[in-house]
Amino acid sequence: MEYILIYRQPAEIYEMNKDPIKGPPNLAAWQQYMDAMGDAGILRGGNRLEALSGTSVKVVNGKRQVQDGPFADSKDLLGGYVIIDAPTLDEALRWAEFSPSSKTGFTDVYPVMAMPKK
Amino acid sequence: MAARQSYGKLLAWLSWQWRNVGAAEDALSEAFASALKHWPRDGVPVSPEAWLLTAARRNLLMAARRQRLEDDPRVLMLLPDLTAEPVDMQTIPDERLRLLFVCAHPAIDSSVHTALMLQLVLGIDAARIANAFLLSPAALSKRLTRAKAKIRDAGIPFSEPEPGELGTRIGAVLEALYGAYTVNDSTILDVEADDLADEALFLAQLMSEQIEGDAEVYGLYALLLYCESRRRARFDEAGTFVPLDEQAHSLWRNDFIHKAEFNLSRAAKLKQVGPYQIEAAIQAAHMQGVLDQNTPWREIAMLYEQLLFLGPTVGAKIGHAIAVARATENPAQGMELLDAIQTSGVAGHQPWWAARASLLAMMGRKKEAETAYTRAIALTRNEAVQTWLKRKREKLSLSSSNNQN
Repeated sequence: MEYILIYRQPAEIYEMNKDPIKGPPNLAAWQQYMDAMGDAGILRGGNRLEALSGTSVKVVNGKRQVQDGPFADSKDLLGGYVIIDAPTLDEALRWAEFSPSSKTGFTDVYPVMAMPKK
Repeated sequence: MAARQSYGKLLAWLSWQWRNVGAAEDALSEAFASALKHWPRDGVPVSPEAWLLTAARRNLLMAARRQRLEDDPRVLMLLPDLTAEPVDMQTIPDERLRLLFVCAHPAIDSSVHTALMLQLVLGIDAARIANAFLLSPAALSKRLTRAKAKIRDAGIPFSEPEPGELGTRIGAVLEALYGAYTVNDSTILDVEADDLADEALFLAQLMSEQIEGDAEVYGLYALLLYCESRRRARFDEAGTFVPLDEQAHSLWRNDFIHKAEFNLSRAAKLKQVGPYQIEAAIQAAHMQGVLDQNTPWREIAMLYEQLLFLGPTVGAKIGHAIAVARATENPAQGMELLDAIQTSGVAGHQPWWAARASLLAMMGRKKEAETAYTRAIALTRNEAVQTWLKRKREKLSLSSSNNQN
């Protein structure tokens, strides 16, 4: 079945990733991690996100409210996700465990809902 | 037919085949319901379990058809079974252990582990579990439903945990069983804990039979057996709690004690010390003390020290304080230890006040002891314990002077 792995880390980590000296080693760890999933043949999709450039929108009393930045109160920002195919939750949790974000922030795992056949 | 045996075995097997605990549970309870209707009329079938299993499978198939799942491989797997000869229960593997492991999966809210095990492996209904754990039945049902939906939807595997994770998962199962056994409002093991004690003991036995090489599995089983062996001696005819050192050991169950000893020595051979084994050893020492009319307080104090080293729980700290006071015959030393735990929020903890009261009494500080007993009485809901504490308090005021000590 399919699972989505959502990577969340504190803003400092994303800032560090943009640093020409400190960034590359950190990003290399991500590359290795993604390669491992690719080689395992389980990767079904995914994206990196501009974690520091999020905007949130909310409708209150019919009026649109736009806010810069993801949610001032949450420390860990959404930096990317992948969809993987894994036979069990345990397997998906293992891939989540390997993610660099699990050391610096955390990784959420959700089963992807199976859509009824048409 | 022992329903307790059958229910879990059948549910575990169906869940394993169907990979959906909730659906298997519905199908099986429907099967039990139709058994209640048919058996009194047509007679009990030769193999009741096989009958139940066939009925449950039919229910699962019908449910699958309603949901248009006919092409699902799981359905196709069940189809030939229905037309085949009646199932031989002997050939059905016991999957209850796997079911226990599923219930204690770390992805499931740990506060619901115990309730899930009791419901899925033993078929105890949510209302009774809620009652024992002092929860609202509606709230518990909601949490159980959510947990079962998660088992189904999140793809929690119906398999044994991997070697690296096995120890942790066994620990989670043991913790849940211990929780079921000591579900009452007190940490004193001698307090009657509804009748979930039987159920916890049964599951602990199941674990000890099916798991090789984990000392704490045998340790927990030994601990529960020691506690259970004294069940009949724990309350007098008036229903008052009788503490271990005042019990009539003729009322203890020797068969349980022997089994406990066997499991504890089986555990010791593995040389993996753990809290359940030490607690069982403490029980054994206390009981031996009653038989010898001489409690080995020094040894007990040492066991508590080991227990504290592994995990400083409030219960262990209190036990340690008492044991030290008795071993050194110096209640002041025990009191110092009791005072030291005051910081961790024990002011609302009945055993702490009861321990304090007994040490104050030992020191001859009667007025303070009385106050401490009064506080302890106010902090327990268990009537048998209340009566016992009241009696201790009365004894105190009856003794006219300090020379009674």
